[in-house]
Amino acid sequence: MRLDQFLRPDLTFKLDAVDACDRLLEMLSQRIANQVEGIDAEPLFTALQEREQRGVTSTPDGVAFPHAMLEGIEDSFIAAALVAGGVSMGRSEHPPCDVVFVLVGPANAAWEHVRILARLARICHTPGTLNHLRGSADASQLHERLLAEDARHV
Amino acid sequence: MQLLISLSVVVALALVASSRSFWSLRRTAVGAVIFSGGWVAVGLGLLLSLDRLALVRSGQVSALEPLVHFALGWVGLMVGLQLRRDLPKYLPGALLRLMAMDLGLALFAGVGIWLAAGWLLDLPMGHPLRWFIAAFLGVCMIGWAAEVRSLRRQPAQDADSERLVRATSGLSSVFALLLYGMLFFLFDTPAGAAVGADAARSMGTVIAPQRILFGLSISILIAAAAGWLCHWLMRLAGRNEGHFLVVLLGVVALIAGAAEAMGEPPLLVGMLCGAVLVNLPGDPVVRLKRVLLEAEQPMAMAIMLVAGLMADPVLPGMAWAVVGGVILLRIAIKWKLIGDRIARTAPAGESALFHLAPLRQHPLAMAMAVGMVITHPIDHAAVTGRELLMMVIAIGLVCDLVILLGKWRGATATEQDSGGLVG
Amino acid sequence: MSEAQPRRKLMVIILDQPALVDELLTGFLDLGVRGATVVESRGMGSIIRQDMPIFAGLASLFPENTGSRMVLSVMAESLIDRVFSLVEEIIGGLDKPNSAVCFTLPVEQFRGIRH
Repeated sequence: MRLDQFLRPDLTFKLDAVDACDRLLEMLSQRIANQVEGIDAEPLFTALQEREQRGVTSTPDGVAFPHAMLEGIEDSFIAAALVAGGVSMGRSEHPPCDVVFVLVGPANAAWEHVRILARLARICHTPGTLNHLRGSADASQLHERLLAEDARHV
Repeated sequence: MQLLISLSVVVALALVASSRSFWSLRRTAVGAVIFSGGWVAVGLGLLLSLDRLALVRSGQVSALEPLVHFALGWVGLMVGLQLRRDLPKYLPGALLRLMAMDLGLALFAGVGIWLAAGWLLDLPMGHPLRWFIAAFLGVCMIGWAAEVRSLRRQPAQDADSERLVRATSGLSSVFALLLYGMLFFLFDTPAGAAVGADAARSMGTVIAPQRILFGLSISILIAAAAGWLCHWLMRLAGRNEGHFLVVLLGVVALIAGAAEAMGEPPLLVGMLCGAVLVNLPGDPVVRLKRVLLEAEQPMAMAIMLVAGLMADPVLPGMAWAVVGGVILLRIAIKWKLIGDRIARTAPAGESALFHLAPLRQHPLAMAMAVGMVITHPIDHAAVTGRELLMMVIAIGLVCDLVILLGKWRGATATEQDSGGLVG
Repeated sequence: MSEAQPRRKLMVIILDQPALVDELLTGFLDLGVRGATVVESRGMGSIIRQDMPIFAGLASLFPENTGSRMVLSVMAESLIDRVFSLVEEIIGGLDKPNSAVCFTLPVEQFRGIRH
């Protein structure tokens, strides 16, 4: 499964420092709602927040994968963000997350949701990938690098 | 030239030891005894160092010293990597009693050797060398070979008796190495002994009790530092096989080199480092263990070859008397007392050979003896380090021959039994 | 009348590095493989060594020293090539010693859970 169909340049961000996880999710929800038709910031934020409350999605590598399945949308998409300085997602043993992928998908496409998450996890787990992504100068370069890293994998 | 020959033989033996045809040879009962005891390599070493052939002289083996230190560090690491925090839950119940008996026997044997050494080797009561010989041969008495294939009549069973033999052998080797380390510190080699200063040569060893605490502390420090470094580097190496191998070789070289530079025994430092490493979290340790274990046979071959090269095959009669005494002690106590307890756990029809299991000498004794010759170059009129090494070889060889004899007698008895039934 | 089933194969992967199982299963999900069974397995070398340890008698007492994991999965034939590539990618090349072995077997009939 290639990620190019789910990644969008207008949903790739380079953010300034954020002080809390909720603030980050709120900010990303707002930006997604501004770009994607049919998405409201409030329900998306609530869904992402609930997911994090059920189990934090951060990894020991400083990456977070907040995700939500929403009614009323037809296609999955990924918003990717680099966060200056990182933000703690709530697990003290994990470092602050400075690479964040928000995955949003239709409520009836659970299998696709799992596959996209697995793909993102694989890509991020590849040695050198995260440093490559973190070195992006701006959002468009981050988008390009994500596509390049995606293309490196089966 | 001689160095080239010894190096070539070490490499050739290591290659043969890891070949598939070698493994199939090892799977026969006789092959299991011969190869796990390292007798092919020891024999080859002795042959190469024979005066008549003069291919390699024992003095020239000192050029291989760094490689020997490396191999000893590797073996120590292998032993230490077994010391997991949760080890007690995997140990068979009867093990502690067996070990206590075995350690008691080693102490008893040490006292016996000390008494005999005065008379047989003409060493005065307070002579440090007399204490050293008694303590060293006593430590070599601890444990037994872990190989169980030669003890079986039936195909693989993984019975209680087999686990007991392997586990007690494994844990004994840890105790033996700890005591060996203490001996190493307790009997200091005076400066200049290696180059043969007269005073040092006549004395052989100096008892230095204050060295134990200091030496152990330094060993622990080196081991902890090397362990943490190895763990960190292995994480950096990640999945890259090449990097992983470089880290592994580098860390073993570091252990051996640091131990040598600080005057510590590489076997002990390696073991302590292994104990540190195995209790640190992470998958690389599992991988490290597998790589080390896979190279167990070639490493053993290299050490046994060096043992053969360094040993002095011409033992004086009195030294043979000590060897005979130790063997008799092993037969009288290990075979009778400890073997009996192991045999009780063996499956029906298997008890006779498992009775013999504790008789065999642990191959670690040979590694310790090689380490001793290198680090404590005793050159005394009564006994030399090379002669002590030969004594260890002789004890191990005779005990293994007893096992083979027992195996052969058992096979003959079985044939006769079945002949009677069929006929 | 039974409905026509897609052609399936049984993929068998024996990984010498158990730590990579997690990554393999993540890759399976990514490629669309919906299920697999992982079995602790033992290589011939490990069994031989267990009988005849020289210095490390305790090693055979620990379960993880069995060393390998066997991953079994029945999957659509169309996925096979990609799964081979996935294994190569994770292992870093199947031609290296002590990496992994993988092969497929034809599946004549398949009954059981259908996702």
